[in-house]
Amino acid sequence: MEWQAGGLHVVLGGNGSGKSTLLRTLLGLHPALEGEVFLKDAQGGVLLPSDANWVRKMSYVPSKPPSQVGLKVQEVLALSGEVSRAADWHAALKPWLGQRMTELSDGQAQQVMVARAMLQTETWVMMDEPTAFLDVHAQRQLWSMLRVHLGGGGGVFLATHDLWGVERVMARLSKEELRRSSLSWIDGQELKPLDLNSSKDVLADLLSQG
Amino acid sequence: MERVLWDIRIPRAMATMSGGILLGWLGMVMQTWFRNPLAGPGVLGITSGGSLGVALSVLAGWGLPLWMAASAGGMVVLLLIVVASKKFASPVTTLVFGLMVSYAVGALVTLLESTASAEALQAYIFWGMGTFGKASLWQANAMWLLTLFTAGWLLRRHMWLDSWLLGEDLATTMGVPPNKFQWELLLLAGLVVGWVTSVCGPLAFLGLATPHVYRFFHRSRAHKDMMWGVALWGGILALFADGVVRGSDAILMHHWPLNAVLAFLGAPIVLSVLWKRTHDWS
Repeated sequence: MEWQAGGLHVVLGGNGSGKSTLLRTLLGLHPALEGEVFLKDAQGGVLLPSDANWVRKMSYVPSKPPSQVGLKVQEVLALSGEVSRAADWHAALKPWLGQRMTELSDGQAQQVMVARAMLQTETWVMMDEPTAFLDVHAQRQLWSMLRVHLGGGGGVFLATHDLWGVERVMARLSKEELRRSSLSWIDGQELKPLDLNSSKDVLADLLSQG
Repeated sequence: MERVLWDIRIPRAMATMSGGILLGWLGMVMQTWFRNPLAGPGVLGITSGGSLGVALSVLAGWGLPLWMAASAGGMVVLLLIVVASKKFASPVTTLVFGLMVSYAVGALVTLLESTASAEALQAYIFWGMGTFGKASLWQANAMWLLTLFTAGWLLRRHMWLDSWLLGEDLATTMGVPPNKFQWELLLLAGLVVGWVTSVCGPLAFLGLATPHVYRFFHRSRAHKDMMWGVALWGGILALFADGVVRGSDAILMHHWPLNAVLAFLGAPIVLSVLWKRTHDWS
């Protein structure tokens, strides 16, 4: 499989289908069960998960924001980059900067985690069901931030079981963004790419199958 | 007069302050490491591991230098806890595991005690009560050297510690090498427990309670701020406890062992942590 940064890449799969393992493997948290994981840049340079620079290209947003973290929002962001940049992308962060993570709702905390991931890298933001615990408003906030990342040429990789959520997000992407994006589906042991040009039909098909 | 100052007063004050600072820091990094507000060298059985090392040396006559024996004992227990904690879903299970290890280690010490000579037994029991008063000048100097070393490590690794609070997976993807980080923590904890325990005895509560005293009075949870506050409070608590011990000697003419004083001080602090909401402890 190959994914290109600069678009939204979704892997759909049910609970226990192995999509989280796939995501963890791509992040380098898990050794590859089969095959190899690497990043290739435009000049043909190859980067492996064991390289120190891997973390400059790949960042992670887990499905649930970490709990019991007494660090302030600005301290969490500062671990990965300049706080002011994040506040520029996403004005909603500003009033929270001096607050502890524990003082935020799950939805707010998850926006902080996405902003942190975007500060860490301009290349890949890898997400595992990032909206599972969020209400619709927080989901919208989160995606508006991720579109800044996409707009800057970054890639978003999303592992999810939420077909309806994917449809909502895909429907809001521009033609250009959609052109660079992909959707695949874990079916048993196989990862099947779905054609996005007819994505509406494919999604409708999948949705109707339940 | 000068002899008293250099042989007794100054080493004692130095050992007290550095002991408080070192144990406070140890409690802080262990609470972060295990992401558990009730983690500490005592609760997790690391101090008892150190005691076992000392018991093997003093009671069974293994003849290893005390600090090495205590370091080795502490590190063996800590390694056991680290490995086991990966299997446990709940942080409470890790604490219970640590307590069980403490009991098992305590049983081994009891076995050693039952076969030891009367003199060795007496020496071991007095050591177990804890005191800052037995430190020689060079031991106190070595404790300060270890304090400086630990401060350097904290200054170098405070971002790793902060990242670790977000979870091991996230920290790893943020560039914290989990194995290297945990090996460093293990060695550091072993050194600190080894040195402090061999010189001052298996001190209770200072490690567990000091970070909570800091958290009660100060807002920042970033380790680069926390390390200074914890050092301050560790020093203050240790000096206060030693002051009570010396006061009991001078005024009551009855020696209160340091560990008894520390438990009187520390237990209410830890209980108050449990009493309050503990959800934003880190």
